[in-house]
Amino acid sequence: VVENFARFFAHESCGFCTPCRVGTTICAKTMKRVVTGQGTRRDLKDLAKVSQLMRATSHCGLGATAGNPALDALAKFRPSFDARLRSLDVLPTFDLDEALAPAREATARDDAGSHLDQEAT
Amino acid sequence: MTASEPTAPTSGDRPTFLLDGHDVPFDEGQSVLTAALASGTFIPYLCFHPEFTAHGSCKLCTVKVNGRNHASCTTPARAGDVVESNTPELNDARKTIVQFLFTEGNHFCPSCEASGSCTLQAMAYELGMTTPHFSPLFPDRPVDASHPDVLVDFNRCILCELCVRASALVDRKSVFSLAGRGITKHLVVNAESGRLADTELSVEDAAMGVCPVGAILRKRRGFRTPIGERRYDLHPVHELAVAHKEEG
Repeated sequence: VVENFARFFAHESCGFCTPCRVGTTICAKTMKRVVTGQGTRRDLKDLAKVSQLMRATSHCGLGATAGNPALDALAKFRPSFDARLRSLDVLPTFDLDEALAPAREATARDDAGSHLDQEAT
Repeated sequence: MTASEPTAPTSGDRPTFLLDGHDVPFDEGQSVLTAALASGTFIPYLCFHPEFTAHGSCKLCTVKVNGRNHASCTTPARAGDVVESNTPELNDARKTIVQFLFTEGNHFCPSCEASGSCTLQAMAYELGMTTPHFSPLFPDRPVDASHPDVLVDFNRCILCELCVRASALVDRKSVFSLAGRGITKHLVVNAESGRLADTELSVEDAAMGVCPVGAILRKRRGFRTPIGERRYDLHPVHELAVAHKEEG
C-alpha cells in the first residue's frame, strides 16, 4: 500500500520545487527496494528523513503530505517493514550475485564457486 | 545595525523583524531574504537572483517564520515577525535539499569547468555536505553543443529557471524554458529543432551570465581561471551573496 502511494506521488509531482520533485522519486525507489526484499535499515531511515523533509519544505500540499503514508506506516507497522528487510544491518543497495548472473550464463556455470556469498560481503 | 527595543519593531524610521535574535530593518515590499542579505545576514539560496522576481522553487532559503516554514525569497517581510534561519534543523534540511540536487542530475565536480565558481558546489561546502547520500538517478541528458559559441550541458541543470527568466525578461528572446513534470522536468531550448544553434542566443545575453552551475557555458573559456582564483576560491559563498546584494 505504501509503495503504491509513493509511486502515485512521484507520478503526480509537478516538479516545481526540489524537495517534492526529488523526494517523491527517492521515496518511490526506496519503497520498491523494501517491498522487493532488497531494503536495509538505512532505507527505512532515509524514507523517514525524506518524508519529514518534504513535509517541512515543499511548496504545496502534495509534497507536504506525500510522506504521510510512509511516516504513519513506519510509526504503526514497523515490524512488517523490518520483516521485509534483507538484513537489519547495513547492506549495499545493490545485489552483487544478481549482477553476476549474465556472466554465469555466458560461461554456462552455476556451481557454488560462481556465486557470491551475500552474507559474507 | 542599530539595536532597538524588541517590543518596538522599528529601526530609525524603518520597520524591523527579528532574524535569529537580531533586528533586521526592511523596506516595504522586501522579502525576508532580500532584507536579510541587505542587512548582511546570509540565508542560503540557489534559484533566487537579486535582479529577478523570486521564484521560490529550490527551497534552500526555507526559514521558520513565526514557527512555520516558508521560502524566505517569496515571503514578504513583516514588522514584528520572528524568523529563524541559522538553526541545525533548517541547515540539515538545506543540506538534504542540496544532496537531492546532486542526486537528481549528473554532477561530477572534478571534471566540470564551473568547479570553484559553481554556486551549487559552494553551497554544498557551506552546508557541510560530504556525500550525495542517496543513490544517484543518473538521468540521460544529452549535451547541446550546436551553437558556435555556447555549450549547454543539461546534466548540470538544477532547474532554478534563472536562464529562462533572464532570456525572457531581459533579452526578450525566450531561448530557454522548462518542460515536463515531476522528476522528468527538464530545461529545453525553444526552437523548432530543439537545438541551440537555431535560436537567437548570443554570448552577450543576460541568460549567459546567470547560470549558478555549469549548465550554460561559453565555448573556449573552460578552465581559464586557475585554481585559487576561481569565484569561490577567493570568497566563500556567504560573503559573496551579501556583497552582491550591497552592490545592487
